Amino acid sequence: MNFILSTLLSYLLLYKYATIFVVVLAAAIIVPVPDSTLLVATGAFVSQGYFSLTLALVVALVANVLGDLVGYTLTNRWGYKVVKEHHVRKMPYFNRVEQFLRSNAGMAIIVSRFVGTVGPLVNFLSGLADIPLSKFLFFDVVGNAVDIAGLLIAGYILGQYWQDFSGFVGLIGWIIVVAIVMYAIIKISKATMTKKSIS
Amino acid sequence: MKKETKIIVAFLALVLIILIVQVWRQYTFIQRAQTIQAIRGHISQDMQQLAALRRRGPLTAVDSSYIQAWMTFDYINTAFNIPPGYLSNYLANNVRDSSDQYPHISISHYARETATSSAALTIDITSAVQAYFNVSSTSPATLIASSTNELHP
Repeated sequence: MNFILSTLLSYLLLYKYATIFVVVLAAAIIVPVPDSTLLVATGAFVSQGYFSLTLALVVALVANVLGDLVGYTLTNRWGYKVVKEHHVRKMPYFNRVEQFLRSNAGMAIIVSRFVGTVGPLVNFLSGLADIPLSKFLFFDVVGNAVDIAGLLIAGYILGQYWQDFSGFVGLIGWIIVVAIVMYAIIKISKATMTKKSIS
Repeated sequence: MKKETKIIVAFLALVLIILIVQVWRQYTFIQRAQTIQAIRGHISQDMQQLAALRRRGPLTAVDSSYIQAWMTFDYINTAFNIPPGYLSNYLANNVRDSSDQYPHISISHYARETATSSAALTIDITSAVQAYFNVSSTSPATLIASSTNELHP
């Protein structure tokens, strides 16, 4: 177990829900912390009567949604200005990604909640693509609730054996990343080919 | 080669083939039986693991290897359902210095504060927890008293 994770686990046992809040919030913004492993561990601690499942779920959900809103608001307010200044909007690839996100907002937001690294990027892009806040919030809450509940329940089922399986969480995350990237590439290239054939 | 010799050689070759087939069948049968045994062993092992996974509530002596340096004493006490006085008493008697932060301190932090090795203290705590369960049939007073026995002389 690495130093960062063992330190975070110690803090989790010492400051309980405050640690969950801070770590999940930081991960949602874009800080690379092992929040998924921490939630699996919390699930295991729930099974030993050291945490409350409901409270852990609520705290993690609130922190995650708040962190996601930070990313969304930042780009929604100032993102366009920065993009315009740097002429990024003129890039055809950027436009295609923006278009893809607009037409598949719900799916993109929900699926990206399951992958730590992709989630914050989708938040930034959602703000930039001007996805309505209510729509973003709805899919964000649904995706996060399923993701957090899944991790907590997995930890609860595994109990004291959670450490043996914590590597799988990362592996599943990476499989989802590959699936998303492949889906996006197929979708974008299909759209490009259709455009070319029309023109 | 004479016709008779040819027939004998052909007959022997046939017998040899039959024998080889028989040996091969026997070998695969034994191997299959061994494989079945191995599969049975794996299944029973998996079932035991599943049964262990289904077990909920306080941990027992079997789970004492789960104890790690990042764990706090408060968590160990709760997870193993050990009275806080047991490990506190153990530490007071077996570690030279003590920390007033007990039980809200991790083993590694406690080791750092008391200038002891984190790995050695983790082993000591594991042994102390095992010892707790070994004498759990006795009265609480005996349990606290047992924590004063040095595990690492």
